[in-house]
Amino acid sequence: MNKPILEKLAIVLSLVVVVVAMLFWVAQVGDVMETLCLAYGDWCFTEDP
Amino acid sequence: MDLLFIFEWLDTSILADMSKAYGGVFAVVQMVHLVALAMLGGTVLVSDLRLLGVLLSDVSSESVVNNMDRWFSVALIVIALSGVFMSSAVAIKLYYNEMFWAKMIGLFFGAAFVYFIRRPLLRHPHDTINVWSLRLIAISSMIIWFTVAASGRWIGFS
Repeated sequence: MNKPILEKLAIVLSLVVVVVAMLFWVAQVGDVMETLCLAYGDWCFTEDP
Repeated sequence: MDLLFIFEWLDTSILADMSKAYGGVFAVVQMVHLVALAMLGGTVLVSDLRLLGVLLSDVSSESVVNNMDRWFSVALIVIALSGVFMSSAVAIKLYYNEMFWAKMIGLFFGAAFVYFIRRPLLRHPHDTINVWSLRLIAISSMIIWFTVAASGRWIGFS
């Protein structure tokens, strides 16, 4: 494949990766927080202000 | 496509017998897997941060990327081989684990991105490549491999 096509592919795929990864981790954020909390302490269940 | 038959085969293979019977062997292979993952992460960080101009700016980016590429391939092969052995111990459980599939998709996409897009493009002199292509390649590469590593860690939590 020649360079201009590779450059365009790289830009498009990179943007897709950034968007998909952001959506993936945003969708996981609840599970991530809860699991970290269960694994490393109960800090996210505290009711203190 | 249902891939359950592969996991069922793996679950009854000699690899599964070994990984289930010998905890010490499993632990050593797991250690090798994690060292290779750290090595892969190191090569990704060094070469991508160089492409972004954050570190090693007194060394040519071609030189840094070429050197890191070699070790990246070694680390990826070690990760794949040790990963198959480790997954044989819990093959059926992994088949039903969402994070395992997130990791596999990230791994296959990341490897395809490296070998079919990143490397062929970076074989050209870097100063002739669009600077935004270089930056985006570096950023997306770090995001892909972070996702692979983090979802791999997540398998242990789920």
